[in-house]
Amino acid sequence: MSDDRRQQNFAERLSRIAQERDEEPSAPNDPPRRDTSDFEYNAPRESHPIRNTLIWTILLAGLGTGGYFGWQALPPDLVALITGSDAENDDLVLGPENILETDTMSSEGPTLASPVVAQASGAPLNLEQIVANVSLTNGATQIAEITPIIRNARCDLRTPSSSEKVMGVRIENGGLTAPIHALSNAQLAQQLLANVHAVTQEGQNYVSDGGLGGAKNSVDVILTDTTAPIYLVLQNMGSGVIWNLHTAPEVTVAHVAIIGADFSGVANLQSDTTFEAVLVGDFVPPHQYGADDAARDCMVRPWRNPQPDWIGVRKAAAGDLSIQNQMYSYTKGYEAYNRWYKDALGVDAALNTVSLRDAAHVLLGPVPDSPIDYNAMAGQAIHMMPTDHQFTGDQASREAAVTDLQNRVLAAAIGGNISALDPPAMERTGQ
Amino acid sequence: MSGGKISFVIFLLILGLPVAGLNVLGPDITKWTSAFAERDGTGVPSAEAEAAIVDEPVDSLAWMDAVPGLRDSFSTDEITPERYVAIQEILRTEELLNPGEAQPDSALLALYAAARAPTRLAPYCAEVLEAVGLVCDVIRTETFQNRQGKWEILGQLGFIPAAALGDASAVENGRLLNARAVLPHSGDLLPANEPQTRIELLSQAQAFCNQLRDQFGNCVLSRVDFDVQELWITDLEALPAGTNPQRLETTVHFTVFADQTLLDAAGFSEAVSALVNPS
Repeated sequence: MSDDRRQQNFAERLSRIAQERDEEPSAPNDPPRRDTSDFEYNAPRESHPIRNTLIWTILLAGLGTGGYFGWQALPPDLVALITGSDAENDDLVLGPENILETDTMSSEGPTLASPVVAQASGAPLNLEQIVANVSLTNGATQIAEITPIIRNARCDLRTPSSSEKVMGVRIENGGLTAPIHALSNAQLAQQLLANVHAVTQEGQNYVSDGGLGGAKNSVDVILTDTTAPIYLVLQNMGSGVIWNLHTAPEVTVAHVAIIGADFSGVANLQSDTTFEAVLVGDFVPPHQYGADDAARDCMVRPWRNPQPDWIGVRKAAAGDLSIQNQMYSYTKGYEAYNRWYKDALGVDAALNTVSLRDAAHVLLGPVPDSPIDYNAMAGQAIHMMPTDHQFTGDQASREAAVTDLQNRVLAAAIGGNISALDPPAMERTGQ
Repeated sequence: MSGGKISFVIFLLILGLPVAGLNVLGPDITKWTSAFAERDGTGVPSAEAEAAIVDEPVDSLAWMDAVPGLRDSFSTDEITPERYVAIQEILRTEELLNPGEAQPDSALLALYAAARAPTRLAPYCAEVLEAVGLVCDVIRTETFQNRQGKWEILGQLGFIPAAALGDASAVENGRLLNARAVLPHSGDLLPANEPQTRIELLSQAQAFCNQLRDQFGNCVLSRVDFDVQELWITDLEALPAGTNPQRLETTVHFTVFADQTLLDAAGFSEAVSALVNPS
């Protein structure tokens, strides 16, 4: 009996504690309360919005990131297949790294090697369609002599008359090897300075074959336009070009204006043709990025206007920021050049002009009914901007002459042997 | 779908995605791990490789490679780009040429200056050896034409220090600290650009470095810049005849390897200033 009394006292104490806590006391005979679980379907449901949102966010972010990089990793043609687009024509899908240069299209425009002939409009032609009795210029071609052209010192090209038709070629480099080496002392010094700096600033051994300077290229310019006397403007940005003219019967070349970044010349002029030459460096300082963006007097650096088929333009369109800057600079440079060109010659720089990066043969005018005779450079005089050092003869002898010139000038500049560029270390003696 | 089922699906995804990834990319992952192993050289070495490792001489200074620039500063086995005396010459064009030598085309003068710079500056090594160096070599030259049309020839003479550098290996929590100071001079004029003056300035710089070594346990005279300044003609008119118009402003760079918990860059700069130019 005494045990029942203790149980009753204990129940009363629990009841008092529950009342103090505002809880309803359980009857001593109630069954014990069980813990509930989320996995018990009859259990009360609890809402966990924050937890669930967090889980879904992490999951979706993971899937999204994985999906993005996975999509990027897919081959372009598979992407094109999935999206249903034509990969070759959709540069954005391809991505700039997958837009590659070809044998005939570079980042800076078409490159047409011999025997392909470039023309202003229409597909490139084969040289045999245009000329006959071809004897291409090469490094071994024997020329008669070099006749100097006095450079235009005032940037005032002869104004075309109203009866003349302005036609032009604008390229970076010529596609044939010319039988001439020519270089100025400034070019010689620039090249030798690079070799010297490699020793005195970068600690390298002297390398004498750091690029022979003075090599020149050649381009055949085939003229078939008989509608008017031609005012021919021959422009290039790269190393010097010897322009070799081939005129169809009835074609008159009234005047030739050479605009070159290096020492250039012209061969096979008609006897009555007048000519003049502008060296870009006489009027425009060496190019630095953005320097040619602003129009100015005598902006004679012959930039070419970027076209949609250039690899560079396609890469820019596909999002390559570096190439976008480059193409922007080209465009601004061309605008500045065109402004000067129109002021000087009265026509747009694109009019009747063949423009590409590299060319060996260019046609100005219609395709002739039958091939015209090719004017070989062999045996001809070359009218050329003079400079400090000019070499003719076969390729090997010209290169040997340039090497000898470099060695002589370097030895004189050092005032002794090449070893003087790197004197031996000195050690303390005695003590 | 109930909350419990969703949670179960999430659980399966978290568990299953890595498994699926490993199954799909398994071969590639094998290649990656192989590439890493090759790059890190952690693959099993061949017998020849083991023999080469055994034969390789022990590099007692290898511990220095843990701190960028430490070996170049404290190694005394070789000339390094971290220790040099900067020399400057200012020349008229005729001084660039040898006596009686015909002046070349003006387009070639920059080449002449660059090509003659090492030979012109090599003799300064004798001064470096007399004051601070055991071995000296011309490690870099640079030339340009200044606004006055004169040719400035700049050179770095690398050297192996003659003085003891102190023990850098005893430093814990070490960090390289650099500080510079312009050497003081008496009078209104900077010191003349003359051989004996340069030797004295180099010796003075080394003496300061020795005091820093005594204070901090080590010191490297990492760089001495001899900046040549030419007096104007109007300045020279007020000075005695024969005054050398070329004066020297000398800036000295010191390097110590110190416990970074005890000394920081600002503290070292203050110590150098207090030593070289006490107020």
